[in-house]
Amino acid sequence: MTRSFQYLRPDFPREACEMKAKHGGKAVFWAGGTDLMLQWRRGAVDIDYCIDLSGLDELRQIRSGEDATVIGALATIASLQAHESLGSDFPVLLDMAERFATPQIRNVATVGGNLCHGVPSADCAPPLISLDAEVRILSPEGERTLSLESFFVGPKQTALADDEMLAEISVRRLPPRSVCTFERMARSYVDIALASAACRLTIDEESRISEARIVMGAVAPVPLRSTGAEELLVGIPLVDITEGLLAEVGARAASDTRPISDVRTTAAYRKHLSGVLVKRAVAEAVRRLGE
Amino acid sequence: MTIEVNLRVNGVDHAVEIQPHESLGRVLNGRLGLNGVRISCKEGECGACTVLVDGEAVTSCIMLAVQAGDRDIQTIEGLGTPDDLHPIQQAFVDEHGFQCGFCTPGFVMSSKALLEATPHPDASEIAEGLSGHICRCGTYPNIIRAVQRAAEELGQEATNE
Ligand SMILES: Cc1cc2nc3c(=O)[nH]c(=O)nc-3n(C[C@H](O)[C@H](O)[C@H](O)COP(=O)(O)OP(=O)(O)OC[C@H]3O[C@@H](n4cnc5c(N)ncnc54)[C@H](O)[C@@H]3O)c2cc1C
Repeated sequence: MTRSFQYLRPDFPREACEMKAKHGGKAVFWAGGTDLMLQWRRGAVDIDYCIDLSGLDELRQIRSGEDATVIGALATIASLQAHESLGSDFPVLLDMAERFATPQIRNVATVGGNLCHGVPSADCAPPLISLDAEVRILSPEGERTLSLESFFVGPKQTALADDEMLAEISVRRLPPRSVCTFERMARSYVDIALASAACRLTIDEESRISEARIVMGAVAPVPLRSTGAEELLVGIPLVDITEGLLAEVGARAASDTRPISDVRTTAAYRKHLSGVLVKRAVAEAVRRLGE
Repeated sequence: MTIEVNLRVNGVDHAVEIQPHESLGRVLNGRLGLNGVRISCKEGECGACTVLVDGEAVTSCIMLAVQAGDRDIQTIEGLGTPDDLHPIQQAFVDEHGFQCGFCTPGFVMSSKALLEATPHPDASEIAEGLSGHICRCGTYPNIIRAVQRAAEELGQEATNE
């Protein structure tokens, strides 16, 4: 007999959570399936019940409001690119989307699936964390909100309980004079990142850096923020940012990483690369702020 | 468990009984006999199985068939006929945009989606738009020329209308 699973299609988010609560650990939420299909075929995940989220249209929307933009968990990577104002409000999300997988995968892969899969290389994570994104999580009983930074617990482990679903990701409008950049290195177009880095800088009226975020992907069990590197930048006037300081920031960020060696590359290369990418991301942010 | 889905393929409705885990590519190729849907890597990497769902290119080898239910599916079989090729197909022939031809249906379907979104792409936009495809014969330069030629053809048709 061929291996298969039962199929459920909820009409409402709450109903999806109730199905998950009822069927336990071998029930999964199925979004685009670009991670799940591969995982299931390889036997890396046991599935008795597939809870297909594609009927939950309200979670596919991207809404931009006065203070914040809310991205539904089921929004695809391509829908980030197609949205009328997301790209001008948060250009970094466009930069990320353009480098994400292939056009065919982007049409199907969801932002929520990318985050909930919980791998350290997930490309949505560093830019969204650098934007201080928050996630709204639903359960059969209610809902809660969490910073995206604290959503990641370990490799393929998130803060979601068994009956919880990621509903939305919200990003507050950035303060004036802010820039966010993303750097990513991979073997080819299709391949996942060997390492990546996002940087957000905000400057005050005297062109002094008032806020910094530096977040790296694929170099630790979770997407990793380097507060040590951020502190080196805060308070520094834009004009005083030298090549030497950039190198120091890169080195500090790299020293925080705990990468692994795998089929794609070695831990030593990832550590080195993370420093280079952080340096580039910061330099590019500084350049754009100076324009 | 089997489920019944309605697959609207190239404008024709097909009611099919499937198992929930079955991929769209497997159902189109194995069940409906559309062997222009080339199942190859089965990991969404090579692009040979690309079809359009509601006009968007997807790798059908990793998409659940049930998720394509009641949506508009287009495969290479719905594009042209041997006597009356679609301009993109004709351009691939004229520019020798293939050698063995295995990957070609996928390239043609993505080219269709690309040209609908970007009617006059430059070479780098074509390369980016087709980045989800692998041609093991290495005919990439010819493929890029074919898409440029198809863009001209289609632009011509549009002005003549
Ligand atoms: C060829 C190829 C190239 C790829 N390239 C990249 C790349 O460049 N960068 C990158 O980051 N990734 C890449 N990926 C990985 C994958 O496409 C992404 O992680 C994608 O965003 C996953 O989204 P999905 O909707 O397909 O998730 P699914 O496979 O449906 O789900 C992934 C996981 O998240 C869970 N889940 C999904 N939605 C929810 C929800 N709302 N609430 C709770 N749990 C949920 C599922 O249960 C599952 O555990 C690639 C994959 C392929 C096949």
